Amino acid sequence: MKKSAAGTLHDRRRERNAILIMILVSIPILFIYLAFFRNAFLDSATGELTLGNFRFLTGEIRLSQYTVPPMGPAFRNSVVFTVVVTLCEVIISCMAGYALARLDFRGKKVITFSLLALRLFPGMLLLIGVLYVLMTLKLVNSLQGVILAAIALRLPGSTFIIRNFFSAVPADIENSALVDGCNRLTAFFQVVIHMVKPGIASISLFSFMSAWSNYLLFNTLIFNSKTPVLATYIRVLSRNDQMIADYGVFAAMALIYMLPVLIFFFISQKQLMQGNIGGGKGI
Amino acid sequence: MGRRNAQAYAFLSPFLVFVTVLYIVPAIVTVAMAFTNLDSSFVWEFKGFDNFIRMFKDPNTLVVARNTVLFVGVTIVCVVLLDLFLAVVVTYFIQNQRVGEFFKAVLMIPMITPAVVYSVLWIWVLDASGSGLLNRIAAGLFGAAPHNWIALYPFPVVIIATVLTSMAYGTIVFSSAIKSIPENQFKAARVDGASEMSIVFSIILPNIRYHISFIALWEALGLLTDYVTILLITNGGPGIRSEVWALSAYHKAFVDQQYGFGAAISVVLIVVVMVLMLLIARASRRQNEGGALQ
Repeated sequence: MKKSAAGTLHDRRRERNAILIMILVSIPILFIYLAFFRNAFLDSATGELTLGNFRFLTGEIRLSQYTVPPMGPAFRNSVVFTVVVTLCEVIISCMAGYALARLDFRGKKVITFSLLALRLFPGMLLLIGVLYVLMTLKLVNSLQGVILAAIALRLPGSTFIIRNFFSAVPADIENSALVDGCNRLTAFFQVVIHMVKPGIASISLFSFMSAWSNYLLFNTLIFNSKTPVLATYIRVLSRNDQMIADYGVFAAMALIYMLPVLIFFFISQKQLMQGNIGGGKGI
Repeated sequence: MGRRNAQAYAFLSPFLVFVTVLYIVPAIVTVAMAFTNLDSSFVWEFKGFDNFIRMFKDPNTLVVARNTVLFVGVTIVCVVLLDLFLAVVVTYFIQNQRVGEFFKAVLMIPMITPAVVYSVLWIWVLDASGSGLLNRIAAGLFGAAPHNWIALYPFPVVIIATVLTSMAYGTIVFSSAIKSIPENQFKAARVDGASEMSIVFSIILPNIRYHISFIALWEALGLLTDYVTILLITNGGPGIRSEVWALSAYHKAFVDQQYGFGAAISVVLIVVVMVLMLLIARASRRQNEGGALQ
């Protein structure tokens, strides 16, 4: 949908009004976020500009009767969790998506149908069962357990997306690689995988975002505070009314927590658009 | 054929192991648990339909069910109308792609904010003390005394917070659907002297009608099952004024440790979700037949 480049005066005035509307919509959102994160740099008692709210980065801090441990371990756990989940999810869904899009085998119809059903099914409804399975496997209360659950719950969605990207790769490209002496595995890694890069970018983006911000899995599958991640670490601060009064420290923590998300978001926006064009099916 | 099968299953095996162990087995366990009174001692004892009978006798169930219908219904209507409005403005009225992309990025900010942070953002805005943002604005404009907004209006608060996180996805889907409408339809309408309003209602809306039903159903699925925003802002309170079905399953299972009863509440929701999934499958098939991709 593109109109002639030289719009009429009427068109331009209409566009100006539309931009005005969008500015009015955007201002409250931006204002709330900026006003909130401004707290991070203000001393909650005096209102002066300070970096004192960021002391949790280096050592423990005291807020009324509660001692907040330094952020280090939680940050490390979050990074490990996010990296492992994203990597495993991308690799496993690429392998499965490739097989479902490209190979012929017995049981393909059944697996494809289950994939279509599971991708829509909200796995969070099964948390009670997941908890039970992890207990049986003696993996409850551990980062490993949450990692496995997080991978499994997102796998159908990612596999579905990447399968569509694989389907869009012309079969001739792969066939000529096979003729040139590649076997399936080398053809997969040397040729086909490069054709679905936008798809990989898009599933890693969603996997990263969801792993980094996941709170519910840690809240339900870990019962002690020995394995903190950023989500649970920050949540402790906002859990009771007395502590949340210190919005300065909370905003400072939230800023550190959101920084990777924002960076990833700005970098990947362009890639995401390419993903939509390249594969035809985004999100 | 044997070698080909082996090859395919080699590619598929990690996927199949994960999905079986942590998706299909939990599904079976959850359904089985619904017929037990399993608690923190984890002794399996089948009790037939006791949990379901208890659920239907509990007067709170009706309140929670009504809350859920209201929450999902109101939020969907708000989200879909807002999505349509924003998508039309950003894509059709703003022809400059880069400006449109910028505004879409702004709309995505609430969506990408981690729930733990997003909830506190609202708690801060609505803080009961005089230092809360809304209280300060109200005091500045009308000289109003501070209100405890979340305790006073828990339901509107969770709806507004949810609408704001949900709107970006539908806007993006509608926006790309509008972009794929053939240009000659617009040209023909303009030659006929159609007004902008009639272009929106007689060209854009009919062209993206399958996307609209898809988004409405997709949102319904998400709203029915994703309770984390409500959990973190009001925790269903005060009392059970903002408790919804999925959240009550969470409360029963993970807070009260009545795993059997919690599972039973989940199973009721699973049945509803299955019906919705069938509808979504139908809507997305139509959408693909309709030509436009998403």
